[in-house]
Amino acid sequence: MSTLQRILYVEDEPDIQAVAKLALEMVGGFTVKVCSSGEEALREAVAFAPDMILLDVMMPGMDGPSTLMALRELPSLAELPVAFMTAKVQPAEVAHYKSLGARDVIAKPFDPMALASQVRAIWEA
Amino acid sequence: MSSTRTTLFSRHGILAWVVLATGLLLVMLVWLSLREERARSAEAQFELHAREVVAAIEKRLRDHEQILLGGAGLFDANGEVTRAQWQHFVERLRLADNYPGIQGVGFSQAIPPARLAAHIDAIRAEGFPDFTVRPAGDRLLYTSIIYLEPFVGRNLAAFGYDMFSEPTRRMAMQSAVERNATSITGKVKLVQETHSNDQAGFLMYVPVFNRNLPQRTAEERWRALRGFVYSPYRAGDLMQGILGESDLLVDFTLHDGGSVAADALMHDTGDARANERIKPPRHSTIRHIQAYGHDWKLTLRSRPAFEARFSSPLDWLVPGMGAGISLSLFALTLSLLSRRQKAMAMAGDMMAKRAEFEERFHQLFLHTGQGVVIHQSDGRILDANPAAERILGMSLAQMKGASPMDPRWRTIHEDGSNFPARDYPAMVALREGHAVTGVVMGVWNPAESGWRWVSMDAYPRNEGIADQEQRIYSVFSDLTEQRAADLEARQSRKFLSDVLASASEVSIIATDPDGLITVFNRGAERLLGYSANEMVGKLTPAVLHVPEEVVARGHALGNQFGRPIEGFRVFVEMAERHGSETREWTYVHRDGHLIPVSLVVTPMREASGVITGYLGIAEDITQRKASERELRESEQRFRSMLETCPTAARIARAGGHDVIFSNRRYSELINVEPGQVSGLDPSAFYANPEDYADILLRLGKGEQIFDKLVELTIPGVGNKWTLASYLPIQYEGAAAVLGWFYDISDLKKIETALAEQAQHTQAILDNMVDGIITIDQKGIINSFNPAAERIFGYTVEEVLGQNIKMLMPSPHRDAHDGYLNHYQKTGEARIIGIGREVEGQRKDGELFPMELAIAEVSRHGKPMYVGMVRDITERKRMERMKSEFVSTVSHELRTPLTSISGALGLIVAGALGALPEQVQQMIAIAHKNSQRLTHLINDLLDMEKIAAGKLHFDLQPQMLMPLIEQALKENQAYGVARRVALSLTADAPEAVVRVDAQRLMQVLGNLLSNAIKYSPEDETVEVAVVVSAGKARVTVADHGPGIPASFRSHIFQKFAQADSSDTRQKGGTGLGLAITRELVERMGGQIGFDSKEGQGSRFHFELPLWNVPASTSDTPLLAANAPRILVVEDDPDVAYLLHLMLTGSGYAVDTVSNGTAALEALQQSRYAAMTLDLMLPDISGLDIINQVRQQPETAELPIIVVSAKMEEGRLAINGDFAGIDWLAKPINEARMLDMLERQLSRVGAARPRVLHVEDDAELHQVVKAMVADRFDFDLATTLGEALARVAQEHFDMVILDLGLPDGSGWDLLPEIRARLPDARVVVLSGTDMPPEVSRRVEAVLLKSQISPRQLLDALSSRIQPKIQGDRA
Repeated sequence: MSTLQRILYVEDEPDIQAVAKLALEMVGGFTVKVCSSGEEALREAVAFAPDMILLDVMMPGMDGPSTLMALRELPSLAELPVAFMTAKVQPAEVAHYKSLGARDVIAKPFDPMALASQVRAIWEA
Repeated sequence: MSSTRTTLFSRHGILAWVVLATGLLLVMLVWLSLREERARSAEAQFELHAREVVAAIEKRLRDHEQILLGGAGLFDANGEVTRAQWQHFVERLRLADNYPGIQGVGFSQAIPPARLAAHIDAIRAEGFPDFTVRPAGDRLLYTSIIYLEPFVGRNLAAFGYDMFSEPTRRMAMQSAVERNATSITGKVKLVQETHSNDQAGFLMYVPVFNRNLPQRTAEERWRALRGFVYSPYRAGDLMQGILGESDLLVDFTLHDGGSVAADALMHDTGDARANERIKPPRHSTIRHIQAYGHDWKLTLRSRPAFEARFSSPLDWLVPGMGAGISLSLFALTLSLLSRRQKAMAMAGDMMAKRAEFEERFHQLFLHTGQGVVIHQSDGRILDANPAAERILGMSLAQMKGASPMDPRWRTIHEDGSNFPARDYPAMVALREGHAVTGVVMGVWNPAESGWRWVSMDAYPRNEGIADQEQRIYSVFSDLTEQRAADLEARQSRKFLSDVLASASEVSIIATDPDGLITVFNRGAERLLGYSANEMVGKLTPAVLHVPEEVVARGHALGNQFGRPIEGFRVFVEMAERHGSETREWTYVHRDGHLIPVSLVVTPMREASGVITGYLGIAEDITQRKASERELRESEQRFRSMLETCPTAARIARAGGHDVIFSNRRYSELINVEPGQVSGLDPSAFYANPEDYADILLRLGKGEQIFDKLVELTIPGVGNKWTLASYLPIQYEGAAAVLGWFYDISDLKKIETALAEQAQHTQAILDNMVDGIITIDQKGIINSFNPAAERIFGYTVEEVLGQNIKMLMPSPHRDAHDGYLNHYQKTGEARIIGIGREVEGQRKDGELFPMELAIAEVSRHGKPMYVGMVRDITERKRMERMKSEFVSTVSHELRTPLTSISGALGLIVAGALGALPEQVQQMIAIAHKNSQRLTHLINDLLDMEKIAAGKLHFDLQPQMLMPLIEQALKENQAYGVARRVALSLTADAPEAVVRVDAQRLMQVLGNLLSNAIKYSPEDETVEVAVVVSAGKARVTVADHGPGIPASFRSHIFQKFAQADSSDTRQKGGTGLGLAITRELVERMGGQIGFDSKEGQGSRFHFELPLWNVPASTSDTPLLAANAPRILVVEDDPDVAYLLHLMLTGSGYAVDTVSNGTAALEALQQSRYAAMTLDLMLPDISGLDIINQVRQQPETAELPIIVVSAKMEEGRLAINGDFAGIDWLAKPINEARMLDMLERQLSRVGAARPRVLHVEDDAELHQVVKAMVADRFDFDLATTLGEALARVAQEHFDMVILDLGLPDGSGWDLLPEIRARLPDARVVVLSGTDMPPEVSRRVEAVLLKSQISPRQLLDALSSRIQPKIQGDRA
């Protein structure tokens, strides 16, 4: 099993971008690329060649699920593990997101210290 | 007289004979002597007469001779006599008068033959050119009549005649000459007899000689003859002239000569009367008259006239009488004799006869059908015959000896009146002694028990010499049957004549066989205008008819029968043949107008068959004819109507299987060519032939069928539904069936669709969750769907027909009728078309909130209201729960946030030292977001408060501009941070608005921050303030991206942001505009915006400018007699509020701000009421009250205290005063009860549980005593206890005394709110309300709680106690 190294993080809110990036880089030691929108992610994803993608759900323009489906179109990303990040984490909602093709859902607000391990856990599952 | 004859030839008759003979004899003698006497007398008379005649004749002859002699004398005297002289001479004689019968007097000149020619010439020369002597011939001597006067007439024929030529004349002339005497001729025919009626005539000659010559011898005389003066005589005329009238008596014949040969007859007076001779003359005699040489024989005979003189009735009378007397005597004697004989014989006969008669009488008596009763002279009944017994109903034995006066007889007159016994014919006869006949009476027959009618005669008879033997015979015939028959006949005759007479509608004219009218009844009079008098017996019916009609009919009949039929026969010909004829004719009324009639002519025959007349009965058929015409027209109209009517129609023969008439639409309906319809069987088109059979059956019973749904199967088209009606009618005189068909196939489809739709709608109604109630214009419930049943708890049956107000709580229940009326009159709606939340009342009395939307519809021209009811109890609860939750959560959220925000704020501010950069960044992020959270929470809370109406606005009038400037200043920093400039482009320095400053800042802040947020860098946000039309408009304009059209409608909604991505960048909760709108509207303003995408946005809000209110200047128009209220209040806000509330309700308001002014105002004006703030700057409210109450004019003035106390309470429950009432201590019992009632009636529980939180046990007792019978009263004396109890138990109400030993009652309130959300709370206010006040004021209201409703209620209930019954 290869290690999780590169993470593509799609989030429109800059403050959260900052916090999450910091948390993942500092705590998890990952290489994080931040995209502010689904469109940007589609543009950058292939080039970045992430090991995993973290998608915010509520975004203007392409929301999380749409971005996921678009990404899945891309051959190199078809099988990539993806996790959603959202405040709506009712069991029904989680099931729904999973059915869309995500591996799991990370709840917001997140504990910055635990974020890295959460992500690794999803990647390893 | 056989007996006479017998006597005649019997010896007894001899006497008679003798008498007769004697008598006759006597008579004979007398008669004979009379006759003798008579004859002698006659004879004598005759003799006398004869002599007279003779004498007369002789005299006349002599007279005539005298004339002639006179004439001769003239000749002798004059020698020559001229014609004229002779004429004069004769004229003088006046022959006609004196000597009738003489023809004339003439002169015949003797002319010797030698002088004849000269004579003729001489005479001719006298002027008679034709004169000649006739006859011509040679004679020895000629005579010529040269003069004959009068020379006229017959006499002219004699001129020139030679009389000498004629033998008879010549003889006389010769005689005259020879004897020298007058001589007459025998019978001659005079030459004057030129006419008829020849008479015998003679002439008388007197010779005239020449005086100068001798005349002694005949021969001498011949020579001396000059001529003859002569007269011709017609014998008849002469005799007539002589005898005149006397020849009445005597006939004579005059013969010339002695013989009586006919040729000698001169005159016969009897000639002319030969026919009259029946018997020979009684007297005759012959006389002779010597007439100048002639012997005239005069035979005289008596004429009947003469004889008659000598016969008199006596001739016959005497003998007659005599004979008569003799005969009479004879007869008398005879008769006497015979009578005697007869009497003798009779006596013998009578004896025999009597016996016979008696026997016969007896038989008659017994057997006659007539009743005979024989009364004695005293009236009592002697005998009665069987017929009498039968008729009277009594036996002889019963009757015998009974008097008519006996009461057993019951008799009546024909008219039924009593017939007294004394009037019985028998009694009358008895009394008056004569027969009484023909009396009709009714007699009671006891045997038959019935009346018998009799005609009774009574004859008195004397059967003996003495009076006792007088008998009265009463004979009576039984008229009963006849009477009955008569009566019947009379009745039937009367009936018939009544009928005829009164038949005034039918004209009855009867004629005799020839047509003459015999009966002309009243009906005929009426019909024709003639009276019966004019017609009967005078005219035939011809005058009543139109001649042309009669003639035409006559021709027709004539043609039919081959012989001419005219006049009256025209009417009766056919009637005679066929027994009667009915025919239409035209009668002519008397005034000429025509009357169509139907005339029935019947010949009337007697038993033998002979026609006795004709009967014509005529009926005026004007009406009928008119009706016929109308019928024809009507049928025509009917046909036209059918043709043109838009419904299919057909007429079928009765029986229904044969179409005889149809209109176009029918043929279209059944898809058959119009020409082919006739004769079709309509039953062929019925989908169910039994339908048609049933229809025909019902029609046959006389039913009319309307609007029957009939399905037709039309070949080539399919099935059609029609609405059919059928009518039995008369068509062209025969029974028929009229069918109408209205094709409703389309309608049916629509109907089906509608029915389905209705079903669908009904299903919706039945199943929908919301209640649908419909009411009529009076509020009566028409429909109530299942959801409404559920909501209100009533079944449909319980509410239908009831008034909707039963579903409403008071006061709406009572006011609803008014609301409805008001709406219907004015169109102002409170709910209709608007929809609002109201309270409803369920069947169990529970009040619940409901959303009500009402629409007005029209049904049958009347308004109907459809209400949709949604029970929003749950929603309300949810809302309340949510808002409570929100507010709780917000509170909960705020607390930790405070800490976070606070802590981070400290660190960010560097108060705790410097931080590494990354740390700083993180901290900044954290702090910013925690602030954001705080804002969000605040906003949320604000929204909730606004939505719940709990946001407190401290509205103060203030200058607008300073606020604007302040807002600009506060947002300056934000603008700078985004490199956006703020500028004020227009201001309104004078503008004063009434706003809550803090909230206005919030509004401005929101707008400005939005504007800044959305402005691109280096742009400007412009703020402008403009005043117009009493409003201040503040506009905030930015030059940003503007608002897209899709977002325009959502812009003021919660959490609406045009672009959520921007949110992240630009911040904001999304609540700003929503809150801003609420705030602006709460401050009485309006907010709006203009924006186009790409052209920036301009948000503006308007606020009404605030004017200092003059006391009455800008208040609404008040009625002149509006009640005036004095508002005593130092807080201008409150004063303004009160002012607004009161004027808005029609009161006039004066405001004063201190006690002194109040008292003054009270002095000056009359007020209806006063509001009083207790905390006044100069005088305490209490003092004012005292003073007011002391003045007599204001002793009764209603005072409402508006108190500002209880502030802390207000805070404790966050101003949530719902469900709380206030009561000032000491407690007014009535007021407390009232309040409790009111509160608890809302609860609706049967026996509410009340917790009284009160430390004063006595007071508790008091209160409990007041109300315990209605409520379950519990006591908590301390706050702690109260809290515990509230936590554990359920109470419907809590009465809360604020002054508790271990805390303020206020602390309980939140707990109550939490545990007993539905509980009512009554707060008993503290002792800061002086008892005097509370006693003397009507109501105490808290300012903070004050609602216009409460104030007005309080006021109005005091000012108009009679109208409003509610107490505040």
